[in-house]
Amino acid sequence: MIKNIQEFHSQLIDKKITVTELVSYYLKNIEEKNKDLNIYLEVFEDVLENAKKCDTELENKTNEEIAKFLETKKLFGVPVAVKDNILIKGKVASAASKSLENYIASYDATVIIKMREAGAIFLGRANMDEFAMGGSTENSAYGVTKNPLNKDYVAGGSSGGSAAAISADMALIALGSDTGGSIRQPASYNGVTGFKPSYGSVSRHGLMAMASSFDVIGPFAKDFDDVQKVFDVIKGVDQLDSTTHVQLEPMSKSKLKVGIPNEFIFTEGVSDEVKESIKDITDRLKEKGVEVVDISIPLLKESLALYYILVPAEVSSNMARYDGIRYGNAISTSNGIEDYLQTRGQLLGPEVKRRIILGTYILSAGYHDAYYKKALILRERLTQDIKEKFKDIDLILTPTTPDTAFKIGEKVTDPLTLYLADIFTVTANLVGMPAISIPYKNTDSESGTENKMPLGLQFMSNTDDENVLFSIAKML
Amino acid sequence: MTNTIQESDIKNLANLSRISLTEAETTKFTKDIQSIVGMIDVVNSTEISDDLLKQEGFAPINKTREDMVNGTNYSSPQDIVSAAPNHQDNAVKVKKILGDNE
Repeated sequence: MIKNIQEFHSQLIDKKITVTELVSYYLKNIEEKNKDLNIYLEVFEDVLENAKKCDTELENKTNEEIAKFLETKKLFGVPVAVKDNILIKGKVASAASKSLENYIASYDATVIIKMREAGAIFLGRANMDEFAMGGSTENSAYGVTKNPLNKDYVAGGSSGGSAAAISADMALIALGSDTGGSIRQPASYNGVTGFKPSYGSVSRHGLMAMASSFDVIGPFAKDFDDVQKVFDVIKGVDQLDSTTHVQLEPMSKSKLKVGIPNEFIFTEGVSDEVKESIKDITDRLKEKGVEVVDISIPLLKESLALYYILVPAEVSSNMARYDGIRYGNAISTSNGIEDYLQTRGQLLGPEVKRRIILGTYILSAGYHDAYYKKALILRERLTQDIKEKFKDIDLILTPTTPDTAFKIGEKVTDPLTLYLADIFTVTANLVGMPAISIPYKNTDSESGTENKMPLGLQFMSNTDDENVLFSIAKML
Repeated sequence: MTNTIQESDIKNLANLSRISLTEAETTKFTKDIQSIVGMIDVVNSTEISDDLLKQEGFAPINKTREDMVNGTNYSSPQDIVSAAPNHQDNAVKVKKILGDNE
């Protein structure tokens, strides 16, 4: 119905649509399709009431007055799906876990406050992998989210519900979180745009921590302009997150230069259609006057290992707070220590437990230096290597994922195979740089027909240089 | 060479992590974590000087703020306590740790 915020706001100015009408459209889609697709875990009861309040605000305004008003309320009336690990005061936030099934947030995440001030309407809680650990939403305690483009396939993860909400036309905007690709990978699998901002550009206050030095909140949309609009609203320094920073002023560039780490992409394990997409986009970039060069970053091949050392280590520490004493549900036994063991054993899912145990192993005496400390040093070295590359180029292009979405159940018993799907996305989180996944029209080269499952192209830029990502996305 | 993970290691790690595991989970996690450790072991193929490894780690940069109530977006003590599964008289209720026989 509505393809982006600009179109929606234009129609509001011309009084061709009301906020209630748009919200009702999404609610109808949710009503019809959610039972099957399992995208929303909950639709908030106050959605229509909030939409009506928006319409009342515009009631007696002229077209010009509405236009002026919308300049100050960038997300006015925009219906948003919110990943279930972002807190909204007074609403359940379960992180798709049984352990937090009835947990009610006692405060708003900073991004929620900012989006509400900009006029957004929160539709409901989007499904995800439990505590954001996974790449398919098969780890949700409330069932898998099916891919709206083909229900036999996963929607990706961990922000699978958020991405699917956009592709199934169940929200105009969705919020997700990205620790190693959890926005970009599901965006790729659903044929939508997903954006991971620079680490520290968006406050993590009110986001349930998974790996604190990696986590960042970002938007999904059908349109590049929309992710930029949301980013402009949610970014900024926050006293409640000491890792936020003042962003550097972006430098304006007359001509863009893209680096492609070909030796990293054209390898075994990357599907032919994905390799074809890179070749095709390289040609298209050149046609548009963009300089494309081959780059080599030898440490990239170790990025997945670094990620799966450092993230479980941080997970094991962050997850200690879910002890059955402070939040959510608890299993009661005859003594306190057994309560602790049983609460975590019975109420956390297998992937969460696996990562906590792996992190405990990595941080244990004897292995701390062999894994954790080495990984920290190599993370810094990788960051410096990439920063060095950005002295010469503006963007790094890779596929978002090595293949299109996989079938539900195909990889669920083998976590390592699932981890390998993160090969192209984890680097941006390791080095804290921004990255965007943009949909690539996946056509069969022989028949010329469009395949059902889409692909994503990932562009990464230097820290705080988000603008160059939006520029290249618009160019394509 | 990759370390071999035994079921006893997983039981010990689970206990340290305060997680109860079933026998089936222990067997599965032993296999899974063994294969993941095989993958992450690649970091040991990159040479890092002893000097660098001996360093105490990267110096943290601490940012501080005034210790004061700022704005309205905070939880009341009642909200925080009521989030606990067991609470009474505005306090979190836990089981007795040291009993009469301790």
